[in-house]
Amino acid sequence: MTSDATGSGMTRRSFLRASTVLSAGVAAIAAGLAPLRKIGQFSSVDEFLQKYYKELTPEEMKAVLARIEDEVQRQYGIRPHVRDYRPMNGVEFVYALNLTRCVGCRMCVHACVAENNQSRNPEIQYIRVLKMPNDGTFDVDKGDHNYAPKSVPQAGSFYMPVQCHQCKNPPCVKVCPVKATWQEADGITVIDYNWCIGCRYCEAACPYYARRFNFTDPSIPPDQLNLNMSYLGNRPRRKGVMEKCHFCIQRTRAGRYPSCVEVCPTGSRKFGNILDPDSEVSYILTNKRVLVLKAELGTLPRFFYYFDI
Amino acid sequence: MRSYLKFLRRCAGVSLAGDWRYYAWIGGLAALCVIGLNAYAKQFAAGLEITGMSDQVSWGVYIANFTFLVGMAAAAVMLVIPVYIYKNEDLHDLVIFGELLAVAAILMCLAFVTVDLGRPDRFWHLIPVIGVFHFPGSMLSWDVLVLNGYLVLNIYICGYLLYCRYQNRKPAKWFYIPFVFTAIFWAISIHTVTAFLYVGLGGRPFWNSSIVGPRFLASAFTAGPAFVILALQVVRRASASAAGSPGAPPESNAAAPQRLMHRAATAADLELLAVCLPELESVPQEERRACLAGATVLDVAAGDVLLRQGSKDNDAFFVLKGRVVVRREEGGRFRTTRNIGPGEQFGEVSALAGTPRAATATAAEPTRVLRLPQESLRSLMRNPKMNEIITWRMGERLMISDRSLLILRAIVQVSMIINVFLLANEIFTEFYNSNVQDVSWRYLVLGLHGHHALVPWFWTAATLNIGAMVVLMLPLSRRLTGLNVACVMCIFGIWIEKGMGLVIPGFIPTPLGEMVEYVPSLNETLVCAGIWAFGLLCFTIFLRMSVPILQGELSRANET
Amino acid sequence: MTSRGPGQPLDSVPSRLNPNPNTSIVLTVLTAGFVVLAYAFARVPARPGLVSRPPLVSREALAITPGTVRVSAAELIRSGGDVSGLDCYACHHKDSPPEIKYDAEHRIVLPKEHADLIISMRNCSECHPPNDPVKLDYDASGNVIVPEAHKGLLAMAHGHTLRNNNCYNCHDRDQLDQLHTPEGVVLKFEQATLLCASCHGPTYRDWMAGAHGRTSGYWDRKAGPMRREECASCHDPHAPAFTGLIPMPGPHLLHPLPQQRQVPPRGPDDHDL
Repeated sequence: MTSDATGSGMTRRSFLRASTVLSAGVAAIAAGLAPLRKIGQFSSVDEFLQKYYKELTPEEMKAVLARIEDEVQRQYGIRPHVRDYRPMNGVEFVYALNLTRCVGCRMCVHACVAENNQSRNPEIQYIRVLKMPNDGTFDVDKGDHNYAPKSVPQAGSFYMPVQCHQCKNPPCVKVCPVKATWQEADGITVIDYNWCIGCRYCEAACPYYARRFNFTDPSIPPDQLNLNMSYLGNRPRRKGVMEKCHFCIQRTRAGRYPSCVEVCPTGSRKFGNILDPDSEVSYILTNKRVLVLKAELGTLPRFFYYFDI
Repeated sequence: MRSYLKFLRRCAGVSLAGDWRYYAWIGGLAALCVIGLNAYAKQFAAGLEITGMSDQVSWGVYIANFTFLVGMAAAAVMLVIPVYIYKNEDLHDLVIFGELLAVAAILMCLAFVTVDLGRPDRFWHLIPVIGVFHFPGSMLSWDVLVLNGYLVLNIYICGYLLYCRYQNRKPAKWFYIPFVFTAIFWAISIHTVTAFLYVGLGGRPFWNSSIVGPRFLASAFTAGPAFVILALQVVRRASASAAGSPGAPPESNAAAPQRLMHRAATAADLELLAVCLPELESVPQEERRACLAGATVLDVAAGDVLLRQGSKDNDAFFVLKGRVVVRREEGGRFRTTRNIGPGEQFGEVSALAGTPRAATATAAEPTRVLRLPQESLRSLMRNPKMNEIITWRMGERLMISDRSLLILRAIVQVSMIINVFLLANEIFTEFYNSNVQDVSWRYLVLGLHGHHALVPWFWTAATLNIGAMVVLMLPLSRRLTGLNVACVMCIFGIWIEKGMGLVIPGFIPTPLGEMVEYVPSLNETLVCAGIWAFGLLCFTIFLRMSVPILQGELSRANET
Repeated sequence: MTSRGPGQPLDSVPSRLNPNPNTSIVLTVLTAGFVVLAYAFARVPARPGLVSRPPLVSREALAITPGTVRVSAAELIRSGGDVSGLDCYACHHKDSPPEIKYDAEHRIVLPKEHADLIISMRNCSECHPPNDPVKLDYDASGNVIVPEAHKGLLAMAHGHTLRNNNCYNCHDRDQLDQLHTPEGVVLKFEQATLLCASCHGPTYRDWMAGAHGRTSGYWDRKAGPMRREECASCHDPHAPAFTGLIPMPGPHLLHPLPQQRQVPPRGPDDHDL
C-alpha cells in the first residue's frame, strides 16, 4: 500500500477497508432495528398530535371520542359508546369502607376489572385487599396480599381493601412532569391516557400503591368488554401509560354507584356526595369513628375506614 | 464560519484515525451499541414487560444508572473548582477533560431516561408552550431543565476553549469565565435536583430523609474524580509516542545544544518574531534592542535536540520558523506534550524558575529558533502584554503530571471519607432503635421476610467503599498502582451503592408492605450495556479530538 | 497515538492507517462481527418477556353470591305469593335451571335455601288456628326442640345465648301468622324489619341512613333511586349469621418467581422483624 506524497488522498485499499467496516456496521444497525416491524398499529398521527385534555375544544373532543370509538371497534370488533363525562356541580365524592363487615372475598377486585376494561393478561387490579392480623396494628407491612383459604373471613384477621384514595393533597399530581394526571372538581384524580409519557414518577410517589402501569399491551376478551366508556375512565388503554381507580367515572358522573360498591356482598363499601348532608357518607363521617391510612403523610385521602359502632 | 467548519471537519477526520488498538476499542464499543440498539428496539415493540420491572418495583437499572451518571457529570465540577477558584495551575487543561466527561455522562443520562419512558415518542409533551411543562411543581421538570442546561453549558465551554486553542488564540475572559462559574453552581444543582426527585416523595420513607442529598453529592464527588484519574492515565499512555523502543525519543541526533549552528540575533530576527508574536509590537524599540544582547539564533535540522530533559541550562527559546516537538519521559515512556510553532516559546519555565528542564525539545523540521538568556526574558516580561501572553502560554500546556493526579486523589479521599461517614450515620439511625420504622433498610442490610437478594450487594459495596477509603488514607495510594486500585474500588463501590443501595430498596417493600424483588432481565442489561458503550464511545472520540488540539498538533497553523 | 514521522498532518486518514498488520486483523474482525450481528438480529426473534398469565375470572362468578340474597317472607307477602317479579336470577343462572329433587314418596324435597320461602308460602293458620297456641318442647340444656313438621327446614341459630333460641321471642304464640316485639307490640310479617330493629337498634339506624347492608342503584337520588334490601332479604331470621365465602383469586405478579425461591405467603403470626 502506498500513500500519497502529500498524504491527503485516499488509497483504494484503505477506502475499501473503511467502507467495508462501515457498511457492515450500517447493516447491523438496520437489522438491529428489525423488531420495530412488529409494532403494528402503534400510533396514528392524530393520536400523536392530540392536544392536552384541558385544551381541547368541544369539537376537537368530539373528534377524539369518535376516533377512540373507531380504534376500539378496529381492535375488538365491536363499537363502544365513549363519552366525556364532566364533573357535576356541588359534588365531592367520598368513599367509606366498613372494616367490621369486609370479609375479604375480593369480589370488588374482580367487579372492578370487569367494569373498567382492565387487562386480564397480565392482570391489572386497581384494588388490593390486605389480610391484617387483628392485634392492634395498622402497619401494612403485617398485611398478607396472597391469602387463599377455602373460606373467608378467617378468625384473628380483618380485611382492608386499598385503592386510589383520591387524596385532597395528591402526591401523584404534584410530581407528574407533564400534568397528565390532575384532580377534578368532584375530587376524582384522573389521568389523560393520551398525554401520559410513562415515566412512572407518579407510581413512585403514591403512598398507597394505587397506580398501575401498562407494561405491555392490555388484553381484554372482546366479549367481556364494557361498552359504556368514558374518556378519562374506562376506555381501553395502551401500553406505556398509567392507569388507576377513578371511582368508575362512567357510572358515578351519571349518578350511579361504582361497581365495587354494588357488588360487595356484605355492604362494606359506601359511596356518595359529602356535600349532601343526607348521603350515607355524610352520616358515616358524622356518626362513626373513621380513620385514614398513613395520615402522617398529609395526603388527606377521601377514603375513610370505619368500624360499625 | 468556514474556518469553523473546517475545524469541525478536521476534528471528525482525526477521530477516525488511530492505530489498531484504537480501532479495536472503537469497534468493540460500536458493536455493543448496536446490540443495545437492537435490545431497545425489542423493548419498544414489546413494551416494558420485557424488563424486570413491575408495578411493585417500577424503576430499575435504567434509573439506577441514570442516578449514578448524573453524579459523574456533576463531579466534573470538582476539577473546575480548584482551577478557577483556587487557581491551581496543575489542573488547568485537565478541566477540559472533566467537562468532556460531563458531556458524555449527560448524554448517557438522557439516553437512560429515554429508554425508561413508556411513551418516548411523547417527549414533546415536556416542551413548554407546545406541551405542558409542570414547572416548578414537579422535580422531574426541574431535572429536565438543569440536565439539558448543563449539557449546553459544557458543550459551549469545551467547544469555545478548544476552538481558541486550535486557533492559538487566547480565549476572551468574558466568553468563558462567567460560564465556568455558572457551571460550578449548576453542577452542584444537577445532582441536588436529582436527589430531590427521591427526597420529595413522602410515601417512600427510605428516600424521604434529608441525608439523601448529601449522600448523593459525596458519592458523586468520589466516583467522578476517580474515573477522571483513570481516564487521564489512559490519555497519558495513549498519547505517548509508541515508536521503536521505549528508550530515546525517535530520530534525535545526539548533538549537544552548544554544538548547533548559532549566531548572534539581529533586529531582522526580532522583526520576524514580531510577525508571529504580535504582542512583541507593544514592546518599545529600545527594549527590544536591549534584548538582543546575549540573544542567539539557531538554525537546526530536523531531529536536532535543542534542550534535554533534566539538564540545567536555563535559556528561553522562541520559534521563528519551523516546528519543535516537546517530549517528556515518564516511567520509561515518552509522551509528546506539545508541538510548538512560530511565535511560541519553550523552555521558559526553567528560565524563570531555575528548575531543570522538564522535557526534551527536538526540531520536527528545519527550524530557526531565537534563544534568550533569562535576563532578557525577564526584561521582556516587564511589559504587560508580553507578560500576559507568555504566562498564558506557560499555563496552556498538556502536562498530565503525577502531581495533578495526586490533587485529584485528595478530592477522592476526602469525598469517600464523607461518604462512608454519612453511611455510618444512616446505619446508626436505622438500627440503634429496634422500633422498626424503616423496613427498607432492614431488607437491604439484613434481608426481610425471607427475601435477601440485595444483602450481598450492600455488603460488597460497603466493603469496597470502606476498603477504598482505607487505601486512600495510606501512603500506598500515592503510588499509581495503589491509586488505581483504590479508584476502581471507589467506582464499583459507589455504582453498586447508588444503584442497588439507593434506588431499588426504595421500592421494597411496596407502600402496602408487599415484598417483590427485582432482577434485571437480559434485554434490560443489554440496553444498559449499549448505552454505556455509547457513552464511552463519545468520551473516547472527544478525547481523540481534544488531546491533539491541546498538544498543539491539530491547530490552524498546520491546516493544509 | 501512533508512531508518525514528524511533519505529517494528523487528520489524513490513509496516512494514519498504520502499515501495522494488526490493523487489518482488527478491521476484518470488526467487519465479520457486524455481519454476524446483523444476521443474528434478523433471524433470532425477540423472546417475549417472562410474564405471569393468570387464569381468567368469568363474569358470571361475580353474579352468583350464594347465601347473600334471599327472598324474604316480607317480600313474598308483599307480592301476594306471586314469585314472578322476584329476582330468581340473583342466584340462578338463566341457562342452568335448578334440579328438582324428589323423595321416596315422590314428594318434592325442599332445598334448604328455600326453607323459609316455602314455609312462608303456606298460610300458617292452615295448621295453626288462631288462639290455639302450640306448646314448645325443650331439651335438657334448654334448647327448643324443633317440631316434627318443621324439622329439616330450619335451623335455630339466632344469637349465641339460649334466650333468643326460642320461637316465641319473635313469633306470636297466639296468632302464629303474626310477629311481636319483646314489649308485646304486634307486627305483621311485612313489618319484620321493625321487629329486628326492636333489638338491633344501632344497625337499624345505620340501615335507615344507608350505611348498613348492600347498596345499589343511584347515589344521586335525583337521577334515580337507591335500592336497599330489607333485613330478611339477606339474613335468614332463624340463622342470621353468614357463613364464609370462597375468596376470589388474589393478585398476580407480572414476572413469575424463580422456582427455587418460592417464599410461602405469610400468616397473621409472622412478625419476625
